[in-house]
Amino acid sequence: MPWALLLAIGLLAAFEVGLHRVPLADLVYYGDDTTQRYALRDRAELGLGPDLALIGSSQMRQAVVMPEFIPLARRQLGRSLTVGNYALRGGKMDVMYYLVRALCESKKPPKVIVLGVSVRDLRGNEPDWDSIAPFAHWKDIPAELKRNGTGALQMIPTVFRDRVLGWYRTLRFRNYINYLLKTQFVYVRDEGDISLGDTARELTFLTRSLDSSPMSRLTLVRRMGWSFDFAHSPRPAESMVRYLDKIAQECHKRHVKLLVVELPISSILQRALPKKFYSQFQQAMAAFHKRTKVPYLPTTELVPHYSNAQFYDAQHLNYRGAMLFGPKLAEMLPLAK
Amino acid sequence: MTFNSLHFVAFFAVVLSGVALFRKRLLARNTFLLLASWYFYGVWDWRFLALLLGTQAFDYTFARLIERYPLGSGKRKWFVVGSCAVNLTVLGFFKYCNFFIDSAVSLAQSLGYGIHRPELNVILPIGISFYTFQSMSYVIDVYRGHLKAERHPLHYALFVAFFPQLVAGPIERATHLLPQIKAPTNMNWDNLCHGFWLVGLGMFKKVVLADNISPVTAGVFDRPDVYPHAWESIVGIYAFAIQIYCDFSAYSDIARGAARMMGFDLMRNFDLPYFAVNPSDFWRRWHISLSTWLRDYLYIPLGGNRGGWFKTYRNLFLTMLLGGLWHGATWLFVLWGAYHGAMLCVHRAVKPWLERFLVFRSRPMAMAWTVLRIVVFFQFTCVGWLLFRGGTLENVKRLLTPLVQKVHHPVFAQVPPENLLRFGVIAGVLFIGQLVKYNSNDHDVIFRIPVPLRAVVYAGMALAILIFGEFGGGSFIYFQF
Repeated sequence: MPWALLLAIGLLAAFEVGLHRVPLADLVYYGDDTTQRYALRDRAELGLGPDLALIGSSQMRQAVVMPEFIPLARRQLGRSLTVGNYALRGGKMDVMYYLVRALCESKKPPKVIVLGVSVRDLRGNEPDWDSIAPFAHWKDIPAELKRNGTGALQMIPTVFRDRVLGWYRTLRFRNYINYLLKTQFVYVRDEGDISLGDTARELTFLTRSLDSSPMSRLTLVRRMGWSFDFAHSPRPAESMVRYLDKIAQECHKRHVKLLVVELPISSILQRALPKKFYSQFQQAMAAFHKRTKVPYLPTTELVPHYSNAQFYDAQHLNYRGAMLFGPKLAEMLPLAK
Repeated sequence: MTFNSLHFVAFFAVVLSGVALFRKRLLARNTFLLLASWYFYGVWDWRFLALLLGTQAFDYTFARLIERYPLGSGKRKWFVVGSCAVNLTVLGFFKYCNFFIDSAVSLAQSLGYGIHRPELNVILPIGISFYTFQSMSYVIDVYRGHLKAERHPLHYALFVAFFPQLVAGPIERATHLLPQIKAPTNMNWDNLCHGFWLVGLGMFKKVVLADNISPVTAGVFDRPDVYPHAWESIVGIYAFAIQIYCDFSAYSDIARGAARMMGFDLMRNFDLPYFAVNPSDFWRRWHISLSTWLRDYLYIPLGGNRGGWFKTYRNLFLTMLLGGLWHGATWLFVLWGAYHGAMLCVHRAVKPWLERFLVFRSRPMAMAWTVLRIVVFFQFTCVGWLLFRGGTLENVKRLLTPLVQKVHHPVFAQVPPENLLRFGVIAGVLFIGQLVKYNSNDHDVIFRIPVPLRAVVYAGMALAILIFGEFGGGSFIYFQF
C-alpha cells in the first residue's frame, strides 16, 4: 500500500480542514488585477458586498475619493449605508455586467448600484474573456457561444478551475495564504483595499495633473490605442450595448436601484477622438435611457466644465477632479431607481 | 502545449488511459502513441509537423539503404553523409539562417558595404535541435553497425516523435528507446509510482522554484538601463543558475516521469550538476544526453584524445564551441561554448599536476578540498551562465562591471526584499534537496526514507505547488533551442 501517499493526502486534508475553520471574510485578498476580480467575486458570493456599489473601469475607480464620498452618500441614503468601490481596471461593459450579476445574485444584494460609463467602455465587439471568466458559470458558456461566437471557449479552463475546484479553499484562497506568509518575513506595503473604501492605493499617484505633462494628439492616440481601437471599432459595439441592457434587466429583476453616470474625459482626448465618435456614444446612452428608463446622468449634468488640471492623464481624474466629481455624484444618488 | 498547462494534464490523462487500454496490443498502442505525439507537436504549429514527418521518413529510408551494404562499404558512407548533410541543412536553415544573414550583413557593413538585411524571418520550429540530433544518432548507429535499421516505420516514427522527450529531450539513443518501443507495455504499480513522483518533482521544480525565481533574474538581467551593484549582480547570476537548472531538469523529470508511467524508461539528463568539481565532471552531470551525444558523434569522430595533445585540445574546444552553437544562434552562445571548451582544455592541462600534488590522506581534509572545488567551480559555471543569459555583450559587461569595481553601497541595497526572500528560500530548498541526494548517492532516496517523513515531503511539495505555483503556463527555457 502507498502509505506515504495516503498519509500525505491526510496532511493536505488536515490543512484544508484548518482553512475551513477560518472565517471566510478574513481570507478574501484584494491584491493586483487578477486577484481583485476574484476578491470582488468572492465578496459577492459570500454576501459581503456593500449596500452601495460603484461599478465601472479605472475611470470610475479614480473618480471618487472614498473617505470623502462615504459620509456624503450616507447623508443621502442612510446612516448605516456601506459603500464599496467595485470598479475594475480595464473593465468594459462585459465584465461590469458579470460583476453586477454576481452582486445581484448574492445573499445580500446591494441596494443601489452606480454604474460609471465612458466612451471606452462600449468599444470592441469581442468581450474580454479573461476578465469575465472568473465571474462566469458553466451555463454562461453556451449562452456566450450563441451571442459572441467561439471565443467564449477560451473561458472553459478558467471556469473549470474556478467552479470545480472552487470548494477547495487551499486553491481558492492561495493568494491570501501566499501574501500572509510573505508578510511574516518581509515588509510589504499595505496598498489598501479600494472595494472597502480605502484610497491609499490610488492617492499615491492621483496628485499629478495633465496640464503639467501636455501631450500631442499623436502621442495621445498612440498611448490610448490599446483601449480606443479607432480603426476597427468606429462606433459603440452592439455586444457592449447588449451587456449594458442586461445590467439594467438584472438590476430590475432583483429590485436593485441603478444609476448610470457618464465619466468625464479630458478635452484633449475629446479632440483626439475621431469625428462623431463621441456623439455616437452619447446617442447610444440616450437610447439606452429611453429604452430602459434607467436614470442616466451625462457629464454635463454632474460637473459641466473640467480643466486639464483636474485630470491625472487623458481619461482619469486626479485627486482634485475626484473631489469635484464625488460630492456631485453623492448629491445625485437619490435619483437611482 | 507545455507540461505545466491544464491542456497537458487532460491530454496525458487520455494518453495514459489509451496506453492502459492497448497495453496488450503492441501495434495499436504504438499507433495510438504516435498519433498522440503528432497531436502534441501539432498543437504548437501544425505546419512544422510536416518537417517532423519529413525527418522521420527521410532518416527511416536512409537507414534502410545503409543496411543494404556491408560494413566498410563506400556506399554506406555516402548514405550516412547524405543523411547528416540533409539533417544539418534543415536544422541550419531554420535555426541559423537569421544568424548567418545578420552576421554577414554586419560584417559587410563594418567593411563599408551598404548592404541592407533581406526580409527573411525564419521561425524556429520547436524542438528541431532535439529531434534532429536524435534521428541523426540513429542513422549513425546503423552506419556503425551498432544497431539494425528498424523495419517497421511505425516503431521508428514513434522513436523520433515520442511526445515526452520530443521538444526538449532527453536526446534518446535508438539502442535504448527502440527496444522498449518494440516490447510489450511495461505498465506496473512500481513504474506508476516512480513516474508520478518524477512528474510531481518536475512540477515542483518548474512552477514553484524556477518560475518563482524568474522575477529575481529578470530584475537584474532585463533592465539594460540600470547598472546594478555588485551584490545585486551576484544575486541575479546565482538566481539564473538556479532558474535554468530547475527549469530544464524539471522538463526532463516530467518527461521521464510521464514516460515511466506509460512503461518507458528515458535516460537521466541531470546528475546534481552544481556538485561538479571540475568542467569535465560538470559535463558528466549537466544535460547528459547532449554531452554524451557530442562525445559519441562529434568528439570521437574528430579524433578524440588520439593523436597528441594539440589535436585533443582542438577537438575538445571545437566540440564545446559547436555545443554552444547548438544552444542558440547568437555569438554569446558561441562564446559560452568557447568558454566551456577553454575550461575543459585548461582542466585537462592542470589535472596531472593537481592529482600529483593535492592528495589528502585525512578524510576531513579530503572533504574540505572537495567542498572547496565544488564552491570554486560553481563560480566558474555562473560566469558561463552570465554569457548564456546575457543576451548582448553590453548586458554582460553591465553585469560584470560592478563585480570588479568597489562597492560603495550597502549590501543588497538595490535588491527588493521580496526578491531576496524568494532567492533565499528557493536556494535553500534546492540546496537541501540536492545535498540529501549527494550524501546518499541515490537518486531514489525519497523511497528509502521513513514513511512519515516521505509523507511530509509529498504534502509539502503538493502544498507549495498549490499555493506558490505559477500557473501562467510559463514556457520552458530550453524550448527556444
